[in-house]
Amino acid sequence: MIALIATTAFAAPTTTPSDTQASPPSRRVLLLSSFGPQFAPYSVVSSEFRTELTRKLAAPIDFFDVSLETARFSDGEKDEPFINYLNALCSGTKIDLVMTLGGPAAHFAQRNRARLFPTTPILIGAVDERHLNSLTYTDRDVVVAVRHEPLRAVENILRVLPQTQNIAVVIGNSPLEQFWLKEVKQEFEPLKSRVKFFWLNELSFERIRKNLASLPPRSAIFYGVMQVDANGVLRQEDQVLADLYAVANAPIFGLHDYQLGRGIVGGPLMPIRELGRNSANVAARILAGEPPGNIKTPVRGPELLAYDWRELSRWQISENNLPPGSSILFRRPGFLQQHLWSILAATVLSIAASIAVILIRFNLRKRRQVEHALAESESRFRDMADSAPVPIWMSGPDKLCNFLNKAWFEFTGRSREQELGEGWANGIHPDDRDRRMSAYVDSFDRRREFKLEYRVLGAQGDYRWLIDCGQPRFASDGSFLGYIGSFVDITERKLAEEQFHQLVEAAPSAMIMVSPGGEIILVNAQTEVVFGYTRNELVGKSIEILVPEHLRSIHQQHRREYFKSPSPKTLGTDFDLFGRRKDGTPVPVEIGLNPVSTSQGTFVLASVSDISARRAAEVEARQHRNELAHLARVAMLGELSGSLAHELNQPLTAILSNAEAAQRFMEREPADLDEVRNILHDIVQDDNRAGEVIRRLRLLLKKGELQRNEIDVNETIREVLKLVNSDLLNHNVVVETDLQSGLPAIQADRVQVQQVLLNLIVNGCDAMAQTDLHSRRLLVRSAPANGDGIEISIADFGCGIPHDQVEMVFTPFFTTKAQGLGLGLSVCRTIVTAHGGKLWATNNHGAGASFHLTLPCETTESFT
Amino acid sequence: MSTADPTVFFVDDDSAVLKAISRLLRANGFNVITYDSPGKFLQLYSPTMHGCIVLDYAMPELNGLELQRALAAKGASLPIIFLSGRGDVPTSVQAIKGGAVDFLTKPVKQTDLIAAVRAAIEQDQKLCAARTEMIDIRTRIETLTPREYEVLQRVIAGRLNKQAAAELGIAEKTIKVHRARVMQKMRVQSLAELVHVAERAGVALEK
Repeated sequence: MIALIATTAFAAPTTTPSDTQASPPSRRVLLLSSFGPQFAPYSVVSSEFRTELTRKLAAPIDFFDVSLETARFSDGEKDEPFINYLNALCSGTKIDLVMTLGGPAAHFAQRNRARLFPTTPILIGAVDERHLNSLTYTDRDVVVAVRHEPLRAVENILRVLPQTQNIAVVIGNSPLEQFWLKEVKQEFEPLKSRVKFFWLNELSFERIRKNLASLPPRSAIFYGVMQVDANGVLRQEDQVLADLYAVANAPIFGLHDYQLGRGIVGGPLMPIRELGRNSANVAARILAGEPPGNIKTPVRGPELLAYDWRELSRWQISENNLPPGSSILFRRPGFLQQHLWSILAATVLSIAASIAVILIRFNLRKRRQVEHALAESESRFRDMADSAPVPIWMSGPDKLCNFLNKAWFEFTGRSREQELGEGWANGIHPDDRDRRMSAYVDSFDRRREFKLEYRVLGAQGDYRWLIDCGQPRFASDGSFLGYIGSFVDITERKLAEEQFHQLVEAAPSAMIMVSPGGEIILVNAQTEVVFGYTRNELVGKSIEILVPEHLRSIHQQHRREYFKSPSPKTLGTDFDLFGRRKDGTPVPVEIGLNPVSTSQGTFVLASVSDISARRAAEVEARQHRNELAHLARVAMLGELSGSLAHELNQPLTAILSNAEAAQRFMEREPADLDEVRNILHDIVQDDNRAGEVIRRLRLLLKKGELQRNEIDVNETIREVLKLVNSDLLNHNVVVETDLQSGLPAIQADRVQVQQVLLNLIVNGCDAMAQTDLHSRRLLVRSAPANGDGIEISIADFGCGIPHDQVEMVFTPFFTTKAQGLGLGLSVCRTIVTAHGGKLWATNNHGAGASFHLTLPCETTESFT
Repeated sequence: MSTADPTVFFVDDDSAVLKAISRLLRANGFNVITYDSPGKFLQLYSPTMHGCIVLDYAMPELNGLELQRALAAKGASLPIIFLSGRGDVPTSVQAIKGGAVDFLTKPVKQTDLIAAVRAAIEQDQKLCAARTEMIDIRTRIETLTPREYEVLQRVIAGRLNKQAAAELGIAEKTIKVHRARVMQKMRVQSLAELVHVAERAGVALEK
């Protein structure tokens, strides 16, 4: 249960300035681990800690390694034997510093401080902030804490692999790991709607391996911590990761920097090694006599943004998906990377494939010689660099430029003396100089790769756009040598980009470039106008910001589907589509989508047209059409007024005569009350009849929006015939009907359909003005239409329509009547068309003409 | 009620109107016979009918004017009152020209209708009386001998007996006998009365 390893390390005497004086007394440091000494990440921290502390301290150091291995199984129940053991171990030995590693060790030390180390300073290290809440500190304690951010790790997965739908979570089953499991579950809660999580903590390691070997497509693995599996079997983390990596069929994402290169893809990583070194610094200050209570260290987070190039390639993750400022390590060809050659090759490779091909050939040819002739490499490199077609530069640890190849001097037209040191920077465009320099210094201090675009004055006297890619270079012993970099002229691309931007900018509609992950890459001025956001508020945001809230999740799904096989597409023409302005109001839009293939993957350029104005015009046109229909109706009813007056006059006549008759009957002695009763009954009937006429008229004269209802065509025809009855009489027209029963109901505006029928009937009567009195017949038929809906035809026995005018009769202002406006039929056709039907005329085989109209049961045009 | 009594023959295709107006006429003491179509009326028409016709102007089959023409063709003399929903001038002019006694617009007031119907019946009665008298005169004229008729023609033309005798080539005395016989047969007391009766019967003057 208890392991103790005591080792002594000595600071290298040759590297310390104090080596000429007497050796200082050795110091004793007790390292109290939460698990055994071989368990990462503690093992990594303690190893870095030792190395760094040994390097820093002049005195020799005795390290005592103690492991609180009970933490694997329980949480603080079996302290007693261990306390006794420690007391025995430390009696007679003065411990100068206790460093705890991990939460359980921190808790143990604090619990038992009084009995074990009442006055010894304690460095609480390698511990997550979450474990610190319940601790009480004395002024002899100092904390070097971290804060893990598992949520960020998962967000990183979703960023680099936006298609991810499943995430398998690998966390072990010890008390400490269960603590983490709970934390992580809670943190992942908001993502549950976005991805499905598989929790593997209750499985044996073998089962976990099997699971990870057969994950469904679009899965990723979140590797938390795995020290004890569900069967209680202890796992050393190095081996765990290697074993999982060997079988996993999905990319693995971890939390710690030392895992990079061992199979994880990368992301925001906890700088564990640096943590060890930081702890050593703190330890050194305490051992130098600084009061521990005065030392404050910031809580460190997953600050390293780094990815393994091999894993990115393996899982086809575009570098474009990585967050800005990410470093990519382990670029191929890896075996060359320790040499200058390879740095050159890798740099050039990443910027211009064609150039790289030349260099790789060159490299391959030279490789064997280089491997056993490192000493010659510098001069050979210069020779080769001079023969390279792209400009190449190098700088020393002092950041100053100490080499430029021939291609550079050819490019700038300036001399070596002018350019070396900081002279070359004078050629940088004044607007770009500060940006370049600060970015360079920043990367340099962090030893990071950089890639910058800026303008440099060329030999022709014009500024050229260059991409400057720089990488730190290290000697084989790991010492930092400076930077190497190369330039590629991207002026043409910049011009093309510029033109593209101008084109997009000039577009009359909102243009929005979207990445496969749905991120807005670019917008034009019109986008600001349409949506009310400024550019800066949009770029970098998800495109869903422009989608009404209730449609966002659906939009996201559609977007993902679309990106699987993007093709040019137009949306919103056959259904209503809305965007969302900044103020939350909806805007009707039409959208054209065009995939744009770039070196960074397929993007989509969306052209969004604000169709509010068109919508308004459509509404206006519809209102005009309704008003015109109404006018035509009023005009037609004007023509029919005599007939309509008759319809009203009949009941009024009856009422008057009945009433006067009743008066007479009342005057009689005795009054004839029976007769009066009959009369009153008749009056009520007559009045109802008059009311019915007026109701029908009012409906026809009503102005306003269309109302679409289910109507029975035959009933509508009969109503119209009643209305024109007296007009038909006046014209001596006999109507014959052939109305098929059982026709489907149609969706239509009753008034407008009546208007059309009235118009056609009145026209038919007019057409027969010259026809022999006894031949004036009007045939009204209804039947199912060919296909869907119903057809109504009205045939007269009039003069017919001249053959060349069969279609012309529907044009506005065409009329054969002395007093006609010429709008009737044109309005009729507009009405029928708006109902999704057709109206046309034919001449009969015998005499006269027929008008036919079809009305579908379901119409497509919206009436709103 | 026999058709020989003055009766209002009312033709309208609208049953409500037919019922109401006939009721009103009856309440005012008229005999009324209703027809719901002009065709039926034409079919049942007989010259012995007395009274008047009230005719709706707008009806299927035959309109009012056509019925008027058809009746005229049959020699019917019953006065016609038109009822029309629209009182437009061309229609009413045509109707009056065709012999209508009145043209009323619906809805019609009782007073107007009754006055028109009274007037029409009165006219019909006068017409009947005149016709009876005419028939009587004609019957009397038919009793005259040809010579007596020739003498009548000359007497009412104002010829002296002597002149008439010369024209007919007979003695003046014979003329006097014929003239007395004519006065007797025509049942008149004076020359003036004879002239009036002969004029009404349309006896041609001998020039």
